[in-house]
Amino acid sequence: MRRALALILGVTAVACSQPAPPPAPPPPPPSTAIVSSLRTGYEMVKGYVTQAAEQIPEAKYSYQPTKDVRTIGQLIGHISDANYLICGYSSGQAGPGTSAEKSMTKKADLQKALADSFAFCDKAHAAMTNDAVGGQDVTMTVINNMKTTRAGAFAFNSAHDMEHYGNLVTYMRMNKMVPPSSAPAPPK
Amino acid sequence: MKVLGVSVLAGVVFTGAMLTAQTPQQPAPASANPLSDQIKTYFTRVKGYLTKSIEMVPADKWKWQPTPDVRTFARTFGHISDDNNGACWQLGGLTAAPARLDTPDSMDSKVHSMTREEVTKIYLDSFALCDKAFEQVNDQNAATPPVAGGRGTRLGSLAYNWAHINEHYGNLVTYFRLNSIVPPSSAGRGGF
Repeated sequence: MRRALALILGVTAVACSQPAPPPAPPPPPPSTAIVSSLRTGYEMVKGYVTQAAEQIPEAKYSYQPTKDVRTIGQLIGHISDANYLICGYSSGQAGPGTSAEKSMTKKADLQKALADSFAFCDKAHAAMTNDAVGGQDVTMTVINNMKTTRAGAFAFNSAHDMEHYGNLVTYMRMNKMVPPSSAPAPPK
Repeated sequence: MKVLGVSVLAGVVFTGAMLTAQTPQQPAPASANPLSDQIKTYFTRVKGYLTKSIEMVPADKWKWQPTPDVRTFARTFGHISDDNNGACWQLGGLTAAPARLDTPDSMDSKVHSMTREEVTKIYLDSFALCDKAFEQVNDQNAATPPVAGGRGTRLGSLAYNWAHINEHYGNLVTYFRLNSIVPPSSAGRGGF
């Protein structure tokens, strides 16, 4: 009996001398891979449109290649208005509901409206994670009540901007300007 | 496409209203892949506009360009084929990289030595390749890289290709308007 007791005490002592198991690692941060890849396309078109608005001289803001299409100024205004609207859907934070397309004609005003609208989109998407972009939880009421995901609205905004950047490319070429996407890369 | 495919949506709504009159309305089943299905839906819409666009160009305008510094109608369709093939072979890994069509970047482009029918076939095939590649994207693999390599995620690649061809649809809209042709996205809306 004494022997058994000694044995038990010995085993207990060995067990107690083992180091405590390490604490569980913290959970990994939420993945942002999807949002990051969508942001790459957004940053590209934001850069192109911003640079185009800068590059086009004030006198050409009223240019339109034919009467059935928007002027350059109206295109910049339309992109600004749409940025607020669609990024408002993707973030759930409604934008100010601007109408730059209809109310502005001056280059400086339109450039500011454009920059402000992109800043709104930047903020809207800054904290987005993969977990927050899924689910059909967004209704784009102004766009025929289209139901979409937050990621869908984010991507929709970039594609919409790209379409109108495509308009601007042709307008610029018709005015002997090289659009930003075709400009030679700066020397390294 | 001024405010985003209103005519197509209006058609869907109209058709939906007709069906409502005949059958009890059922809620749409939730998609098992809401993220990827949504982007595919958008891609399918612009694919429809672009497929219609190549049919709509008058024969005598096939090599028309608004200024010498931009692509002709024909070359724009060749370039869109290259965009689709470049993005979608990599996304799906279903084929080797298809040969480029709109090369060199000049009026000597291969596109101009081909018939309109030949270019149209390659163009439609490029959309079919994308459809097959997109079928493989779902919400479970959306955050993983494209099958044959490349940057970003499968969903990002899908969205990028959609945005890129949207840019070139934006070129075509202006080309059409300069020729007094109403582009597909504006048809049915009073022409503007």
